[in-house]
Amino acid sequence: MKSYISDSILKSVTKPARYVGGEVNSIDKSSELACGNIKIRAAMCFADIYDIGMSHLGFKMLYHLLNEREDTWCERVFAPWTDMEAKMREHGYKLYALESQTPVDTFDLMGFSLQYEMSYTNILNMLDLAGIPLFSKDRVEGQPFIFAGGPSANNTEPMADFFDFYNLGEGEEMLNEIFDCYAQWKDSNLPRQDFLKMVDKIPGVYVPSLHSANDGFIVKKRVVSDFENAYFPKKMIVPLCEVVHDRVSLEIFRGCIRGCRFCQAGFIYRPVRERSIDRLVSMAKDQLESTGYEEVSLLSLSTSDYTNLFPLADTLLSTCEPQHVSLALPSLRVDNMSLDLVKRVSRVRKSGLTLAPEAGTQRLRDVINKGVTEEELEKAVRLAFENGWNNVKLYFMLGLPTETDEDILGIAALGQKVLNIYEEVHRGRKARRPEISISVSTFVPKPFTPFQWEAQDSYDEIIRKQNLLKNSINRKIKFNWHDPETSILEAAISRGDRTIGKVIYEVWKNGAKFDSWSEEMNYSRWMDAFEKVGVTAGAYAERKYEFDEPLAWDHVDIGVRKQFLIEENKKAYAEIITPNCREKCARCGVACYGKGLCVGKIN
Amino acid sequence: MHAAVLPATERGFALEKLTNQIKPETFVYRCKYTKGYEARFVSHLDMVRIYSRAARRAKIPVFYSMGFNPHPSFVFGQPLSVGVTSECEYVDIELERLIPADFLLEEMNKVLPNGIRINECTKLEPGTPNIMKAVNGGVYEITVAGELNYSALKDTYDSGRPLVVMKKSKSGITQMDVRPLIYAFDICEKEDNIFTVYLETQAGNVLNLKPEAAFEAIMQYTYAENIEFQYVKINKKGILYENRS
Repeated sequence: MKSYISDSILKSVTKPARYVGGEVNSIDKSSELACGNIKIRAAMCFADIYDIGMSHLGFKMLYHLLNEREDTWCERVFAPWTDMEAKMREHGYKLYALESQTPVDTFDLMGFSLQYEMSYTNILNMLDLAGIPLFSKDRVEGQPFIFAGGPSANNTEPMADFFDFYNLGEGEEMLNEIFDCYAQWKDSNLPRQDFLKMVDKIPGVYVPSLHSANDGFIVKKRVVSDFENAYFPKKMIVPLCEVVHDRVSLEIFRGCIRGCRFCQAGFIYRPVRERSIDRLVSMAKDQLESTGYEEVSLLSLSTSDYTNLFPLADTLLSTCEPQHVSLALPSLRVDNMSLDLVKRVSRVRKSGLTLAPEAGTQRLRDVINKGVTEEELEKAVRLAFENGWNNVKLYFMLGLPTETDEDILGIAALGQKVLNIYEEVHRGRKARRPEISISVSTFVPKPFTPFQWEAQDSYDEIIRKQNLLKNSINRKIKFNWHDPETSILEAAISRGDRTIGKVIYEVWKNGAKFDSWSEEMNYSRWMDAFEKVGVTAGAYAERKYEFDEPLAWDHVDIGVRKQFLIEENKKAYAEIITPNCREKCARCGVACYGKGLCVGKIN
Repeated sequence: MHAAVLPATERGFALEKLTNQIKPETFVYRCKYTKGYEARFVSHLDMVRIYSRAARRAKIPVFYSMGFNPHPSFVFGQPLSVGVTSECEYVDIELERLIPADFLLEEMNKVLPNGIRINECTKLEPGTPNIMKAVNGGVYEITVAGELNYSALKDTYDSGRPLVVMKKSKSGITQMDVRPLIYAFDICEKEDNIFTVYLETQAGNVLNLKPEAAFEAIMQYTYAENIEFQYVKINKKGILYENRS
């Protein structure tokens, strides 16, 4: 395909391979298009650079799913990096799709995958670069419909003025229903507004312009009818240049049996459903055959919670080994069995061991329902040290509800304990210097979690707590922390309403983009935008919400009852843990889907 | 421990069995391939990955090096600059088993991405020096756009004067005469302000001159001030071997 952008520009920017397409297993339907067989031209859009978007399994999967349709050519669109965007604007190029190398402003549908709130300014920037009006109300016949899905889309409100519609929950079946609906509308020659009325009737779809806050309309997230056999492409696209995650990803299960009270993923992806070993091995074989990847990685929220992890790993290893393919096991709980497994799959480098206790004291770990005890932590660390690891990373969160200075000092104490265990294990022997690090992030109250009503600490308080911790940690331990700005913005946007959309628009107008890249994010620009709109970030982030006050996302039903989240919140303050879904059903409400662990059908 | 990440594996096969072994007999195939328009922005490192994945898709029995971090055995020729196309790229592929060279070529071409195509494949006799060692220079055709005086450029080269340029190296900026590294230069006007440049430059592990650097050195000694021009296309047409006369 001839490149849309001239070679002299492509040669002057970083990593031009991002911008020209032509990857193995990418879909070229230009001849079908020329024959008039393509009714729907669509784009899967990712509001970050190619390297990030192409690392995302869901994005690539839905790209292939839509291209299975004979009436559709679905292409990919990523945000150009700042150097490329500057050249494109300077020379009058528009945002374009990689496969056909044509501008997207006349496409039928553009779907954005919303993975994190800090990418929202990029969405506006991409629409602007495409020459498409930003506000849904300003778009007219002949211009694409812009829609969104993904985890952050579950609070529809901050971006409600920009998107024509949302698809909430799992997309495998819903997207086809949306595209069928579009094909029908396109044949009908009805006005633009009629498509929105039609698509609004599809379960899981929400059209913000047809509903106002708290008008009683409820949209319920979608869950696929059969996760075991849900669509998965036989041939997956393989990038030509290096991207962040570039390997076979096997989604072993959806949902999480743990109900960590701060974790949005732990609630929105319920119910818990697993794929069988047979299905996963057959998926792995197809993927290896069509991609040639040198690594298979298991994908889920917690690898160790897969029911038959060890038989699965054995079977996969026997497929992988003869082909010189390695197996990666992320987010594994540390115990004897798993260390054996890790030793078997990696005889090579003992890279770091990462543990996420999240809180420094048992009391606070109980508050957040992080089902891990001090003894378990000590045991895991000891085991790892005895098995030759010397590199341990510990992850914590600062600013969790009910946190006191004692909890913060507990983080330092836990670090010290880990250090002591290392010295104990190696007493009297020559040993490498231990490399222990403590990384802290800032608690962000997220919609659809028991902590969705909680207040976030103020900027000054976060800084105070970080300093308190910094000064109490043993100097032999490396301490990593982030500036609080991004966390504050995340809290404000993720709990935002349509007014926050105005802030996002203002800050974009003042040049904001790539706000998830710390070197590009400009906090004072955001503060100016809040001021111009006449609200403060603190009003959204720092305020403790009342249980009975309406929330901006109340019209979205993820299957988990609000009353359950309230009960979980109260249990947090009472320091009572909730057993995981496998031990005892907590009756969160997601059994209403009649699927998975909730109804005893794990596959 | 929740959300603990244990080490990702490097190569997941039974290393213990391999590490103490003597290297088995292997078979080396030399492939000459085209890096065309669609693949012009593929970097040298990307190319290694692309070949290794293509070989796995094609089920070609590539030999993996022994030791603690086994890697597929490919030896590529001199790296090309990003954006440059080539009609004569080389890679030596080491296999565990003897297979017909035609089979290797056909199976790989079925799975290589657009723009990369193997045109010749021969099995090498044991002991043949690898491709990096055999090559001595490159032949390039460059299309340049700009208001240039081609006969003046030709005169600069034909005068035989030294072409001393600033060269960045590890020890700072040094001066270097690149003339001995240019074996041939010619330029003609294709259409208005579009020129075709023919260049032969030295390539190798010790001294290496990119065709753009050669052209820019000649430009520098032709014009007192900077003249605006653009590379429309740079294409490697051939390579020069050590034993050329």
